Amino acid sequence: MLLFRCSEDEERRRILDRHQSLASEIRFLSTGSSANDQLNRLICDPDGPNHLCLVHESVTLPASFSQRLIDLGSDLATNWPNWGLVGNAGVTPLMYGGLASRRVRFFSDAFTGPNLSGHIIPAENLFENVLLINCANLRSTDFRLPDVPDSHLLATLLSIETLRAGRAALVAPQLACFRDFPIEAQSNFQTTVSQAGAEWIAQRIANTTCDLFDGYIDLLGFSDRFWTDDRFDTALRSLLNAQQGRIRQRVEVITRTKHERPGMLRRNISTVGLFIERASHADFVHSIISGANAKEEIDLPGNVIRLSAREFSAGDDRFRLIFDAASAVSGSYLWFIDDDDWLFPNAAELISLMVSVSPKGSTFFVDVMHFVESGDVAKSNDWPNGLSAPARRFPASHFALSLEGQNYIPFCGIILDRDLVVGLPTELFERITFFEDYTLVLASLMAEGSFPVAVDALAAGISMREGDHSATQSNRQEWNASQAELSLFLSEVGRGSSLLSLGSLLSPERVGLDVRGRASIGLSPLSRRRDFLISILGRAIQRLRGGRIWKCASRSSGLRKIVVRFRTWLS
Amino acid sequence: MTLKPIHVQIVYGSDDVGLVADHLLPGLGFSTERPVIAWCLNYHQETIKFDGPENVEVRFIDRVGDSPTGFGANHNHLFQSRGTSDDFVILNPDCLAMPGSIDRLLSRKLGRPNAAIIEGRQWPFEHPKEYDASTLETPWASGAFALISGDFFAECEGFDDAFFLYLEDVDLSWRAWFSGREVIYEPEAVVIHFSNGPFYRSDIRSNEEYYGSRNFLMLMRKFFGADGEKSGIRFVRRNFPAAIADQIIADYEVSYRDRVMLPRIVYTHPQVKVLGFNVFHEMRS
Repeated sequence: MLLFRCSEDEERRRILDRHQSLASEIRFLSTGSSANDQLNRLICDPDGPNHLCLVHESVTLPASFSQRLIDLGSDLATNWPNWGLVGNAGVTPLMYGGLASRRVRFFSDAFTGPNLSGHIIPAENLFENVLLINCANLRSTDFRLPDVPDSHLLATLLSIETLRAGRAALVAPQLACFRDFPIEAQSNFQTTVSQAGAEWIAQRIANTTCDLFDGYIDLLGFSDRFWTDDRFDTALRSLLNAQQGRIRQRVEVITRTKHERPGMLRRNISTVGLFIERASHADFVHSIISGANAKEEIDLPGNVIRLSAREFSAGDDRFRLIFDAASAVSGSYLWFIDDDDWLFPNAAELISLMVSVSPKGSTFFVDVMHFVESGDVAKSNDWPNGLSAPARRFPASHFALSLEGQNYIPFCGIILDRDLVVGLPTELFERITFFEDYTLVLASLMAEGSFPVAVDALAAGISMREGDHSATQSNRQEWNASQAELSLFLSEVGRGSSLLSLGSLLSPERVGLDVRGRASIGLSPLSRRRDFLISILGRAIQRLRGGRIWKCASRSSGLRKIVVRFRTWLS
Repeated sequence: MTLKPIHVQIVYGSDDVGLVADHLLPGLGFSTERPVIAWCLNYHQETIKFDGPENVEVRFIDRVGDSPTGFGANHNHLFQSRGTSDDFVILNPDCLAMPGSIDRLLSRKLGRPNAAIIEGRQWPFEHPKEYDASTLETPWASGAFALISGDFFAECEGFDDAFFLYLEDVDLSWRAWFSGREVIYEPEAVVIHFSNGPFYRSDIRSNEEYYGSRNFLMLMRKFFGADGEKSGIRFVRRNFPAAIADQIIADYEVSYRDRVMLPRIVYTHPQVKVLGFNVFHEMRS
């Protein structure tokens, strides 16, 4: 049943006119406060329909919509057995698309079109365009819409009540449509809401703001009990409900080591063990791999697998180990970490949920952070006992900036599709030594059907130390050789793709990132003080010249000299 | 020569059983040369039993009563159940004591017999609070991983269980200073503690925030009297939106205020200070 929300006869006639192929399935639901009662009856009545498709009056559906609904029903039954509500736009708990947005739309209006394609994803709050309701599934719960006057928030009330009832809310491309009433996805518009409506929402969710597709509701003035246990975080509940009944995925956490830092390796193994203990929604398996030139190996706990690398005569085998490891394991996803990295178990539940609810072949980006470690931590045979201080954070949401020509994602910040890695040309792993992480970030973004998913959860820590990093070695010959190979690979791999040319559009300034947030992985990492001073200078010149610092500098030789001298002085 | 065992008290919930059984206890085996007696209390009262490694003997103690009890009450109960006032280590279930860490706490205690509490260093997020690099004195010690003098704990009747959760460690530390003992930071004793602090989201109000605020008011009243209480209320109002602050203060006044006696005399000590809302220390530079 297609239930259009519309009260006026003239509008109802127009809806039937533009949906002649669907006319026999169309019914109408009056708008206003009684709509919730009508919906409650349809959803909760034992003799009511099993499914109900609620459509906004401004929507035009494609002619093939009936078939799309059938296809969607089949997909949902197979892959999302706990579904309760599906829309074609909404706020999502994870970030999607090149701009890592939490507002996804599978519809067009006069100004904007879809910003994603291809896959069903979990949502925490849906938009009202087209909503498919699983009445049969919700009927078995205590689902009930409230009697509040906020008819413009019907989709939000449905979403929250669906999540509270333990069912999944999803966004699906099969429900794509045109909307004759443009709407802007935005996070900074405060939506009006009645006292009763806000109190109803605030009594259910633990969040102090309710994020909508086109704004937000501030709940702070409507509840004083946000910390009580009977409320839920919409993001976490969305993922928990969506993963129910789905096939468990296997993620291979693989530590590369030369066994030169046994204390750090032990630390790595301990933290990965803690992470796996908390990652209850997917099967994480820990392995280690080391090259032919590795030193004596340490004893491993029984649950850590030792992978075999191929024998090589000489040279740095860091990239070859990636291929060997990917070929030796069977999981769907690969998460490479070096032996001086560690994982944060605090993020384990969220990351295991992310893997569980994402389409096969996704690439996952997670936040990672540098920690400056002092003392002789690398050589310690025991637990590294030096001091550590949090330093630069690399937000997962910056992943697409890597198309600009610099890597924004440290290696432990990406979880790769295994099929993608083993499908890369094998000679690539021989030709490239350094930039192996950046190569895989770009390969995953440029792959056919690439589907990046990001979450702003701190998942891994990276040890930064004096004098123990290949990234800071003064002889750049090997780095340059690898970069030449990477350039060749990138120039060939796309075979006509123009994706890389979009990198400059995604520059940090254009996407609204503060210059200080520009945490790319340079060859010679800047100190935070230098970064900060450069950012102050940059912003000062921006204000003076009304443009980007480097553009200004390139136009004005005098200014360029000042900037170069300043940078040299800071160095 | 047989080494004297060290007692380690662990309070955990049912969700933490895997962490304790598979990670914390095996780690304890490497944290000291001495045999370990791990005193375990599950505040959910489930009877899931597990073994420790070779040098760790696990003893399970049931909680008191039918409903979950707080951090301090549980540790007090474990202490009393042990039947000895030997020094002991408290360890949170989300911690992993690193190799040699407990031995370093014990070694420090040998050189500082007047220390009531010796706190280990947390990794990777080390607490930024001050400590004197030469004397290692610190205003207060976290209860996540610390060696506590059994004599002091018995003498001061343990944690103040009115706090239920959070800030009972500050309370114990201040009582240690006022009793003429020391509170020490031992940076060589490292514990992995993946504290949730750095992971809190701005749009979710955490339980820690609520308990911490309510207990802050109790602490202010307990140590600084009526003036301290008023000052604490001002701090809460400054730190929260009005509706939240009203609720915290109302909860405190209705249900918790009377659990804390006003002091007859307000004593002072250079290590006992309040520099802001839940800030009891200078920040280390």
